[in-house]
Amino acid sequence: MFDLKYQIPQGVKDELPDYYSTKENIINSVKEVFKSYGYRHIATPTIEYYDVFSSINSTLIKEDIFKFIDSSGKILALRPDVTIPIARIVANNYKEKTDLKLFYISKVFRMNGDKDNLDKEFSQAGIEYFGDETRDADGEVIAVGIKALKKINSNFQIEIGNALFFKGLIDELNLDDKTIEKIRVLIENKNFVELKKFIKKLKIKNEVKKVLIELPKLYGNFTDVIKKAKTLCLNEKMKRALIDLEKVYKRLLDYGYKEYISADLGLINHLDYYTGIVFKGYINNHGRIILTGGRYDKLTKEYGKDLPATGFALNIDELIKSIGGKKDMFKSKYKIDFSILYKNKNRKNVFNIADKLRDQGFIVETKPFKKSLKEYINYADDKNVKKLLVYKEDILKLIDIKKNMSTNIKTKDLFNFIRNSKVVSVH
Amino acid sequence: MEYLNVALAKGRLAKEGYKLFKKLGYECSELEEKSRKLIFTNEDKKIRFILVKASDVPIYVEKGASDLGMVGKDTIIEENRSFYEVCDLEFGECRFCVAALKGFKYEYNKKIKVATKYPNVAKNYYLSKGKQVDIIKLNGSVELAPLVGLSDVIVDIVQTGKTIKENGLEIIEDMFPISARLIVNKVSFKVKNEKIRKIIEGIETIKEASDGDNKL
Repeated sequence: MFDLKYQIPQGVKDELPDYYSTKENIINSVKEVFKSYGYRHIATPTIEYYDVFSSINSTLIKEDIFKFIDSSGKILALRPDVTIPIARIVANNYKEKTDLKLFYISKVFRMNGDKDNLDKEFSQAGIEYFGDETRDADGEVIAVGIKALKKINSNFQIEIGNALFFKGLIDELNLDDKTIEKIRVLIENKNFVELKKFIKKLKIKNEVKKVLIELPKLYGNFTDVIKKAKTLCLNEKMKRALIDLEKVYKRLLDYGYKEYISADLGLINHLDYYTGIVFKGYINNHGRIILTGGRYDKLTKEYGKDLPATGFALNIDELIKSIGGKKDMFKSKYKIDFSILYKNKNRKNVFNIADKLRDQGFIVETKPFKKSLKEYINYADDKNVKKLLVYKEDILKLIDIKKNMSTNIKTKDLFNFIRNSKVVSVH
Repeated sequence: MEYLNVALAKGRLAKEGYKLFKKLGYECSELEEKSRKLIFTNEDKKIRFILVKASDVPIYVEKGASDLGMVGKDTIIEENRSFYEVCDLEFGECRFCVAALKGFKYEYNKKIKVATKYPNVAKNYYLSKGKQVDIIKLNGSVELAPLVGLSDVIVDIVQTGKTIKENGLEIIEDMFPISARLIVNKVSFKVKNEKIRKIIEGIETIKEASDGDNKL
């Protein structure tokens, strides 16, 4: 048996300084983009009642939620998603017909069944736009996603579809829910083979059969897909769905994002949840979806409010995996501006100097002078310390590690010296 | 341009699968020679074939280590992974069957023992029939299990039924047909769209042509 005391469970990870520094920079960059569009930061509890997630239609798989029990026997859940708690907050705290733009950067937790190759804990960054039911809001949300991705890895594609297209098609199918669900899964998985075989057996009109078989093929170049889809519309709802898609596309063209957009009318998962435009983001040569989103106008209704809403979630950890070797571009190198060595009797003065330097934005560490100077120089070289200061009461010996030079400065002149020699913080 | 990575299930399926790629113009002379290599590249056509164990093809494709994979439907169902299944290759055709000793009958109040190389397929099949079973996972020579009393029945793929017969078993249920499929990583399907679409269309054309041959 393994000694579990040294282990971490499958699907979670330690984030060591190098990784975390990349992650922090990426998160900051994404955050700046969200803010620049007027979205405001919000945070939700890590622990919520299980009912918040279990009682409503969402994109979650209930079995994936980490559950535990509080002292009074109520079932709690580790936050598996942030959109639902935000909808709860919005419904509880804001009146209807409010325009509300929110963003979050949070860790979420999912058991992910027996799929041990999936993360059980990962960071999501997302936005939610409440109170605007127009295509302009749909367009803006996608544009924000594109802008955020562009800053990190411009090698991506956003695919847009409309849940209403398939919902319109369902209206033409006089079939039970179970059969429709089977068809939906086959289309979503682009299982051309089984779809054809399955539809052959169904007692439905031939023109409907044709549309069902064509549907999973409706992906790729936006204009081509819409052109082909227009020939397949069987009712007003389907036509409407395509008109809405075109409107969003036009807005994205005006944002200047043509190259990132393609269409997929087979994006039809979570139909109880999504009520309009849906989209997904992929990065070339990365096998996983990194961004999902869409319009979910019904969610606040579950909490007794009626607010249209659209948004997306970006998986930050997948995004980091996707940039592979380019990770270092986002890493801040670990550096220290000053390391000050002192004898115990001078401790107070040195702490005082160190604090003043820190207030000026420098990264400073202090160490009692107990070993030979040579050892400290080796240490400084190793840890990327820029300058070593040896405190000798009236005089400070300044050793510039990189230049391999040392100068004596009068202690009272230290700050003048720093100002005059234009020493700037490494950060 | 980027390489297209294709995972082939070692053995007969790889041979048949490669033939298809060759017909489509993606030949790779290295692959035709006898060798122990597992990775074969055609630099001109920017295609790379890798040979893996059949049951590993789905995970190579799901994870994106391969863009395409050729593998039997039996493995696809058993592995239950996430990718697009875009094409029936119409070779490697056989059936999933339940077989037992001659004269075997289900007793309805008794939990039966099922030996198989495909525990998920067997479990789901009996679950859908509302039957409680004990699954015994074996890695080969499944036909042996009922003979030595290890199990009551077996769930296995059957091509001609010869092995079943020679071991004194008979097929008691025909589950469903299977054949080799072309599977595609979900992201590759989109980002290497053009190349992959051409391959799918090419395969469909070849299939149609050979359908005609059969009729003649």
